[in-house]
Amino acid sequence: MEEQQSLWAFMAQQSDKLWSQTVAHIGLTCISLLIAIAIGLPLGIWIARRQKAAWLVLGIAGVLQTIPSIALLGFMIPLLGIGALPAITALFLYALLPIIRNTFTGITGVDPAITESALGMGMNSWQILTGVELPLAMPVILAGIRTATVINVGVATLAAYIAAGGLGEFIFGGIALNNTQMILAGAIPAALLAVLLDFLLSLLQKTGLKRMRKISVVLPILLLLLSSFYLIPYTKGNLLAGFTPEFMGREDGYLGLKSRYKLDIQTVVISDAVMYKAAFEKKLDVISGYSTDGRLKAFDLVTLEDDQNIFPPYYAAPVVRSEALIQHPELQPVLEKLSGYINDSVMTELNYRVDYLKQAPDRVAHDFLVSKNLYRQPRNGNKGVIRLGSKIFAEQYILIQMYKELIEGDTDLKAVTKTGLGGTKICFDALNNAEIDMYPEYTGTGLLAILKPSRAQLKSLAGDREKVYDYVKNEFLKQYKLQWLRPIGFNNAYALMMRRQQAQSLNIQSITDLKNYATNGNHRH
Amino acid sequence: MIIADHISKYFNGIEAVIDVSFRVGKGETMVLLGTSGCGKTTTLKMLNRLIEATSGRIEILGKDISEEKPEILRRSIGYVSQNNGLFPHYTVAENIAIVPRLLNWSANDIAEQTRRLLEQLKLPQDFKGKYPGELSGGQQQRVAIARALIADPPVLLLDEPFGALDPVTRASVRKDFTDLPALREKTIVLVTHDVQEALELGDHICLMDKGRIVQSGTSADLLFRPASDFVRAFFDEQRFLLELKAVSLREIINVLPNAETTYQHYLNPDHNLWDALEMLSRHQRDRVNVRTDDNEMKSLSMADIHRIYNQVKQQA
Repeated sequence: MEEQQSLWAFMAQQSDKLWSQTVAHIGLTCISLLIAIAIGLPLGIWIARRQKAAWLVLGIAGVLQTIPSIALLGFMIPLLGIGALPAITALFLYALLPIIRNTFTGITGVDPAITESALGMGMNSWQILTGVELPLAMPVILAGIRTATVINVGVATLAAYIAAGGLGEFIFGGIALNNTQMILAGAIPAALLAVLLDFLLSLLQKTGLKRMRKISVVLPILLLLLSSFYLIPYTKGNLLAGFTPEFMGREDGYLGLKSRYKLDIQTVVISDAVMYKAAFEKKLDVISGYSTDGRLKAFDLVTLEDDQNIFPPYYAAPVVRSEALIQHPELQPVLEKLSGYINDSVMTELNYRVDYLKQAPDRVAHDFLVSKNLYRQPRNGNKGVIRLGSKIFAEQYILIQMYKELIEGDTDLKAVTKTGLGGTKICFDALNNAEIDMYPEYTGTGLLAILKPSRAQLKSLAGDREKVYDYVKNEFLKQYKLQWLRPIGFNNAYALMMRRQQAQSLNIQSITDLKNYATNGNHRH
Repeated sequence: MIIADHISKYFNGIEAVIDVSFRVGKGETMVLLGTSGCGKTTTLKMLNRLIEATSGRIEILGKDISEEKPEILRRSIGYVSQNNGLFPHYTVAENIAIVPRLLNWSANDIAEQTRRLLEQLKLPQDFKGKYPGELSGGQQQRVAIARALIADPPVLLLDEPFGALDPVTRASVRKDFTDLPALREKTIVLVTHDVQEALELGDHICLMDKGRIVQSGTSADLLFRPASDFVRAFFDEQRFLLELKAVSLREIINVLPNAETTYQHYLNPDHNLWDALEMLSRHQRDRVNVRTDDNEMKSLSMADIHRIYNQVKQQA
């Protein structure tokens, strides 16, 4: 195992990235906050005047708040694409409720005797609003802005999923790469940022009623200043690449592209879930996909030839806890039953049915087993429970469902699925801590993301899949008492992908072509 | 001068004020008296359009108020509400300066008037920089009065201005208020539920019940010539005290004998029978002296008080 760097060493080494991510994070938070204040404050004032509309406005803002943040970002993509715009929109929607609600509460909470005497002295409604109601409601409004700020700093980490940058890039990269230092390098600054912004706003809040009139001037200027930090990260370059956080940090990923191909291309970090669509919609030109991904077919993308062999093919195989195999000896033959039935094109086809034709993974898995005559009626046995885990993408959902039906049809065991365990680290930790009994993994991921062998060791394996499989199998058993079973039969490897049309018009067929085009293109500027 | 002509107010069909009419002349103080919920505050607030009358006509200084812009109207009417309504985020000086600023006074004029009013209301000048929260209830109410008076409005509306104060503070704030030189020229409408306050401050009292004026007149009218059992019952609790207070020495001075002895302390015609009784008791004597406007000394005994009181009661 390569020795883990200390957190400080990592942060120092990545200080450029850390700085730009922090700046983007502050920018995202503050821009969305500024817009939320610009819209939420007048809306709050308006519903304080028309209490009949209050329940409706607060209700809508409340419903927006309950939408899970990742789902809200998901909704944004078809509407606004990827990048800063959908991220800011989603963050804005989150910040809205606390600001509207606290403005409403603050203004309706002003002592009516005070507003009445203001009226009685001949102040008009604008003078009363700005001179009396807003200053007196300001502590409550500021409390709402504080809440919104802290929420936004947290939710802004998810912006990394849709290529809007921010500290989420480190956090999700770290989760995908099983790199604790990387997670902390994103999480600690994000937490500090939340604490710091909250503290600054609490100072404003504590300045007391007397100076509240000044705050209404200071706060917008401050936010505007912080917002200007955020510069849209991709402004130059002729091609834009979107890579997953995991790909960004892998030797058989972006690091290899840079060191072996000397590829110099503008990149953004983006979630696997939206990457293909973004490429299809011309928001991205190059993406890092999986060779068996169904969306390759769905979105008419082509893979670029890996002429320098940095993406060796890897086996997919079930990884199981040894104790589970000892306790239930009948498990191993069942889990190895799929071997030989699924090759690359079969897997791509199955993925395509889920990813593009929107068929349920359960049904795709079931239909496949039936067609191969592997399906048996569940025996409804109660001999024990096997917990199956999966990462969050279609291929794993399909595989896990096949295993479930096979186990329940061929043994007296019961299978429960825990789908959607996020990245490699979450799945692996769950398995290692005996929270699940098995999940499907890829030998390359096991090698690079979990075992992390030295460079010399890697070189000796030389991307040979048999050697990699043997090495991973032995090391997993030795280090973690986890058993790699017989490979399923298909390979899953990284591949760079482009839109077919663009690849053809630019005459790019291999990664070397891409490198040449990108380099020359950049020189033209 | 204020004229209310058959004004009524309905809230969602429920009647709060029904067919109320009155007139307050220049320099006069009219009191709207009644229990809570009788419509007296609603009536007051219709005068500066904090509440719009459902029907009827109100005229202030010869102009129909419904034809004026509410903000402009209100800047010429001083208003003190029950809970002082001071802005907690404004200093005393800033609170007092609200109306002058709306009227675009110069900073010098504002400072000068503020200084004068603080002095008249017995507030120290260094209160200017304090916030209302740092003052006692009585001091706050004095500031509220200063705020209502600074622009020298011809009309003053007071909604239970001393209602939230303890009896001792109330008496002292009320005394300094009535002593204000600016007050003599003003047309004042005062709302209160305090009978003694009404008799003491009101030239003219409207007793209200269930949205209507049940009787209006001087304190003596209401006490000695009640229009209904309700009016009689309203004053029953402290009747003897109130009645003695309602008879001023000026009314009876002609029937009093000249004084034979001279005392250091004497009353004047603006005092009433209760004051005479109090002085008798305080000095442990059987006679007190009253000095007339023409500098004659008249004499009043316990027996005189008793006789005069009985006469007044019988006349009524």
